[in-house]
Amino acid sequence: MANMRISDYARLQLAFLQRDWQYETTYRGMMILQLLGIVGTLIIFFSIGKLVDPDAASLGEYGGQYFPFALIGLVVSDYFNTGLRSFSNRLRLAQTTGTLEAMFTTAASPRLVLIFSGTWDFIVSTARIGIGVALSLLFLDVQFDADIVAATVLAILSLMTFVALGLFAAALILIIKRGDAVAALGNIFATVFAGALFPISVLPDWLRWVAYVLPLHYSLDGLRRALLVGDGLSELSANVVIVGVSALVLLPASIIGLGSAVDFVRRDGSVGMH
Amino acid sequence: MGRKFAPRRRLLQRRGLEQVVALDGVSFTLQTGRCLALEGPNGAGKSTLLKILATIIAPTSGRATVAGHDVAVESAAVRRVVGYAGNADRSFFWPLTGRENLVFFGQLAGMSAADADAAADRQLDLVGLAAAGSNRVSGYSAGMRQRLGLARALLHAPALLLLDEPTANLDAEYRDVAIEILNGVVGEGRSVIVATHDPGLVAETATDRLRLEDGRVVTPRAASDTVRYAVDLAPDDGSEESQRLFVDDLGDGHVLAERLSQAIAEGRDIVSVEKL
Repeated sequence: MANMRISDYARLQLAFLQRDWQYETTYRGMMILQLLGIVGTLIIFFSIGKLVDPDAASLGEYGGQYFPFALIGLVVSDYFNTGLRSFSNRLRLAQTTGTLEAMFTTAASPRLVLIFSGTWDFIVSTARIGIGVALSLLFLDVQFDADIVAATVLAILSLMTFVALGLFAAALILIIKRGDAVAALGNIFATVFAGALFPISVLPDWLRWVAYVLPLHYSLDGLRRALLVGDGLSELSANVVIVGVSALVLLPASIIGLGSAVDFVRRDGSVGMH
Repeated sequence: MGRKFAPRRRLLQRRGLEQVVALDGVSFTLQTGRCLALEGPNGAGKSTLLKILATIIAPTSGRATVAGHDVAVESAAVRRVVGYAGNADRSFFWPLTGRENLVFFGQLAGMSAADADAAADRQLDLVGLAAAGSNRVSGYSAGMRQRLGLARALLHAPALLLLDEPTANLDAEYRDVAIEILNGVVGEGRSVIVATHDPGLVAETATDRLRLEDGRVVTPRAASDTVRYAVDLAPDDGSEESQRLFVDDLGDGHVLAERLSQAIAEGRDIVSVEKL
């Protein structure tokens, strides 16, 4: 890794993207199902939004409308789940199909193999989110009052945090060979405790502390305020600091952790086991 | 650094929940341009030894080097010069074509997309899969996947080829092709280590042999033992490269004694031999 140029990284990443594109296009039916899934989800939350009182106090700080609130929650939790699952799912697939061992014998660094394997899912996630947001803007009367700079900064820092959590999950799965529980737990934290689909102010007081220790809560809160009521970086400084510190600590730690997990399974002789 | 390697291992490996000694004190060297056959019963440690040299498994003790690079601490450098074909049945992306698989693995081996394309075509042709290259691997027979595994190991023209049972699923025609390929690789001055139960493959390709049992190199226990350690008495040009130790089937201990006597009489250097 030390002697690699940027063009080498790009070439290696492109090889994985090309492979995943080839893989994806062998399952064209899945693409159509995903598109139908997006439309179905939007209709469900748009309908729920009609049932929610626009003057609900819990939505006041986010502009008062439920559907835009939920839409941002869906977008962020989609990226969160992609981060949490992409690396570990790809790793698990490679373990069970036996390709992991084959990839680990190539000149490519095992760590890069694991990291670059997950990129495709982020592209798919972005496409899914793009379609969902476009449909919402065009047909479901969603309007943003956005501070683009604040939203962009928070989105980048949030993404870094999600990638880090995903790399930790992959490191764990590399060693314990099972990952279902990690992903399920992440999903619960996102949807229930962090406030992806409802404001945490509706949670009982004794449960809110869980949200306050989750960086995901600060991502959701900050992005909603940046996109729905136009809060800028100064209003969102606490969110930016918390999510930023999380990203800057977790990302390097997760890359180191992944490397340690690779070393562990090589010493343990269990690279090919699943 | 020379192009010889010299592993020496006592390896603990996890099998199920147990830690077992997979290799115990195995030592040998192999010169460039040689083909070493690893023989022995199932569970003897042949595959483990190949995986150590391919850097899939890190040794828990001892040291192995490939092209002068330590497999434990310079694994990236080792992987650049090694081509490994293990269990081909479960090492490809089945929804992709054979050619797409090779191009992908070629790029992971450090080749540009264009070079990987060209190398994939070349190797598919070499192993007799040119026509089937555009078919999905899911439709391949076990023998075809075996050949694809060999093609993948050869993609980046490695200095050392590590093959685990390369003829296991091959019919007679492609077994001959595989043997021809291995002899060609050795003829180009590259080296091969092949773990096999195929005596014909050993007879037609191996220049050196090493028999493992229970993780140990088998040592002669009586004069009538057919498998013997022996010394290959390389010309003494003073270089480390000129000297090598290998294990050979000598028939009986008298042959070994004769060789040793002859070597001493001729004044040629003898490299150290362990467990003789």
